Amino acid sequence: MPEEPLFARHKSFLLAVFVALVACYLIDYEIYSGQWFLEHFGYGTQEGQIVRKLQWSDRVAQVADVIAFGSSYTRSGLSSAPFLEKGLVPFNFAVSAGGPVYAYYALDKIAPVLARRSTKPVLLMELSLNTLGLDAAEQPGAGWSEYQHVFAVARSRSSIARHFLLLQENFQQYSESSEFLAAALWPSSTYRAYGRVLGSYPPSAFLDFLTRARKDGYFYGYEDTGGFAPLYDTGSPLLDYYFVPLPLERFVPAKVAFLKLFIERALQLGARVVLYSAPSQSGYYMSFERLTEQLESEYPQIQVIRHQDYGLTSQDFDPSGHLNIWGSDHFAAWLIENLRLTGDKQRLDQNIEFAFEKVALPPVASWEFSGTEATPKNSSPYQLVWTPQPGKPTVAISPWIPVTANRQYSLEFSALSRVGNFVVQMEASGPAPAPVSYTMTVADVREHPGEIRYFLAITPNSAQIRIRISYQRPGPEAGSGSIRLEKLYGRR
Amino acid sequence: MALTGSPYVLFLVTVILLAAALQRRMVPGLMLLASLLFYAWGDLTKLPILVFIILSAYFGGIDLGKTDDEEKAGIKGKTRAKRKTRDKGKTRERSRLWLWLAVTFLPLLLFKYYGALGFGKLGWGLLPATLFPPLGISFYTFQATAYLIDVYRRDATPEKSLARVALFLSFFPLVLAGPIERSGHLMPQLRLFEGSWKKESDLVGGCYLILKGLLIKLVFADNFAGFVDRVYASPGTQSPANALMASYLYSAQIYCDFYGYTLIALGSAALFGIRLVNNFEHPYFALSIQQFWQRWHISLTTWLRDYVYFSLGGLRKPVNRYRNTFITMLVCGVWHGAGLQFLLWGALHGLALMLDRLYQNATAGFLPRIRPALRPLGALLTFQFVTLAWVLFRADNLSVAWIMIRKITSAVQAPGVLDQPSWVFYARLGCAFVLFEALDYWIDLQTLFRRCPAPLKAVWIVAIYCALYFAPLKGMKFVYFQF
Repeated sequence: MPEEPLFARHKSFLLAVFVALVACYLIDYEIYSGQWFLEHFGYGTQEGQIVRKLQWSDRVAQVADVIAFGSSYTRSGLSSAPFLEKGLVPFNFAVSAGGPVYAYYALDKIAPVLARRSTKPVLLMELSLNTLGLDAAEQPGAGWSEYQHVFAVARSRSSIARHFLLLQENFQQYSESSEFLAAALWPSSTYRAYGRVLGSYPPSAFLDFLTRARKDGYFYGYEDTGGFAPLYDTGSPLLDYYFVPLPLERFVPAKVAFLKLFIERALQLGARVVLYSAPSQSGYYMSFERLTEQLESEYPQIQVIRHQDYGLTSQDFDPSGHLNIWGSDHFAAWLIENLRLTGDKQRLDQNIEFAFEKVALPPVASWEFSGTEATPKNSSPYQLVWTPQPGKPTVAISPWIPVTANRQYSLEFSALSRVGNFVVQMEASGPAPAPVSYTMTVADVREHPGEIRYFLAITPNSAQIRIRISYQRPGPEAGSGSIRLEKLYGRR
Repeated sequence: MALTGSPYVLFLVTVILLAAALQRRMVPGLMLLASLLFYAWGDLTKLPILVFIILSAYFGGIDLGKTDDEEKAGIKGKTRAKRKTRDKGKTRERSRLWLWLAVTFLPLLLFKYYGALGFGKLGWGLLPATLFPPLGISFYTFQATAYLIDVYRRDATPEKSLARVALFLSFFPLVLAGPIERSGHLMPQLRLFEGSWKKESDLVGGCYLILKGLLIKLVFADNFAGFVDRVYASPGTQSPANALMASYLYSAQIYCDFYGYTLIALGSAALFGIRLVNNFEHPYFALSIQQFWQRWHISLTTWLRDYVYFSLGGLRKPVNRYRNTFITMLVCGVWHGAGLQFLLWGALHGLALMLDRLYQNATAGFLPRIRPALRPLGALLTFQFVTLAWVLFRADNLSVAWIMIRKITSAVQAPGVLDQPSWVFYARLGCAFVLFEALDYWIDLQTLFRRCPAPLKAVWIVAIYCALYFAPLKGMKFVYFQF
């Protein structure tokens, strides 16, 4: 007697399951492709910093002379200013905890642009034990698997499917197979990271989430126009590094495979590929010796920087082991010199005009002042000087500045004094309930001589922004506060 | 392979599609192969332990089942010589049972109590300092020993097919954390795979149980674990309010963790037409501690009752019943771990059960009208006691447990502030869990799901999908995997 097929008895239920799966797919599509969480939580998130760079990458890749890939060691360790001084346009494509997987996918995104260029940029690729080493993979929950990066940069199931097995191998190494498979099927499942935050919302805030109202916050640092996010502390980093060549088995095989894919793609595009170890004080590069030897033998065209310390001192680092702003200036200058990079200052303005929208800053004479102590400095139209009473804050507010909505702008300003705290804020005239504003507090920085430059970024949800600066002297010490606005650039 | 992960979902779908497509005679082989593959997924090196237990149960069962044949051969009779021979035979049989039990229990004792028994220190560097027990070793060892004892007691017939014994012990939905099945219940069902399992397959009920299990484990248990783990990581620095909330959330966590797992196991088995025993019957609604143990981890409780409590004997004397209860709960504590806190936890429950029985006996003849009115108080006291006892269960050692208990008891006078991050979320989730559990208690949601029209079933599935967005990104391990 023929056996009854298993599924025939449950036709209506299976249809219900099918309909439910389609509905779940649509919800997933709306949340992931519609960037629901990104629109609400803004660009201060891990996904946000990646998407923000991706949005701009097609444009800047057309004119960039140097493109750097890597983790926060590069993002906060490779300053733009020395490149610009030499007439070079840098694009710091590195993101926090970014490694070879992210780098490969990021390069893949700009590959069509690079392929069209007659002169190819130099591609710098960071080597870091955090993103490549097996030790980091064996620490549960350390976050070096590039899980969020992959789904932030790939943004389609087909991109994931292309390297599915290699990605699966990678995430298996980090005990994240299940999370990866779930996200490969339902990419929006990566947003489960926000479940706790959403669950803590009061009803009104939850309504904001449902209507995608922006809730921006500073988390991963403000970037300058080139994608560099400076750090300002100084301290001896606690280094827990190897200074001996590590055997190849101590590297995550899938990460090495993605590094090779990156190199192959870059060489295919005709770009110059330079591998360098993440900036460190000592012989960190030694850890990668076996790996780089193998890579050099496979790809003779690549260049590997072998250097003891890049000429850096303990003053160049922040306590977490990243370079601070002064160290990143030194490191960038060192790279320019040692890679013999030369730019064209005449072409620079043209390239900058292409990649950036230069916004005219309103002279401080046109600002409103809430206290009498704050005054514009006569010799410089963009400099403010305060001589406030101790403990009494004063505020200066710029007129509204016309900008393009949803484009990222970066304000560069210099703190000239050493006493007191500046609070610099940019706000958009966006619709209620959540006009976008970003704040940066510039604390006492008296231990560093000279001017210190800062960056504050905003992605306004309207066509107008303004700058608000307040100053407070904490104690009765003599001295005045002074700040100078340098430039305001938007990423085209 | 965790039952809540996406690899398991893909595995389950693949197995059911293959089983549906293959010819009947190939299905038992497929199920055994799938079960062994499932077990070996994470760590292939632990598979030999499972195989050892399977072989021990199989040959032990055959050996212990032989006696019937011998009796049939002519040892039956009433003469003195024959009685003597039969007594000798019984003693020999009992010795053989002990031998097979020792062989079956050996890996469990070795792996579970290796550190506590000091093997690591005795090895002069030749033995590893610690041994990590294979997943599920307690569960399949208990299942195997139950089978051996049942065969010895003539409550079960020895299974002649090695493959069936292997599937009985390694069936993938239950191999990692139970329920601890009896051969009399599961073995006949496994024979279905040789026949028409498709007729018995319950796709609707199975899917419902799996979805409910995922919701309970991923959304409730895994989130509660986030709060509880943070508090227990530094109990000394916590406010009494944090400690109190952590203790309540741990009660919810351990229940949701194990119950969620069990539901997925039950649901997975139901897809293949297998009805596993239910391990939980709303234990936190129990009106007494005795009722709690009739509703909590039922397959273990009945195992302990049948193979420890009854085996201790002397049940005609009331005092022995108290003694047996206490000893059984001590065994229950030690089964959970070698730490003193587990022993104390078992002792506390043993004492509570004894007191409960005393109270029941003392009030049996009178207070018939008052007793129903006291039920809510009984439920409340039972829950409070169980929650406080869980502190011992969760704490890494007795000193941590002591700190937590001091904090919890001081919360009445000076609760301090709830200052753990996202505590509002956990509090809301806790309330949601209470509502869900109450709803599930008063309304049979599974029947409701079965009866509702197909479009509503689809809505139900989508609602659970949406709820899963509140599950933490990184799933937590099942608490009971460590046992």
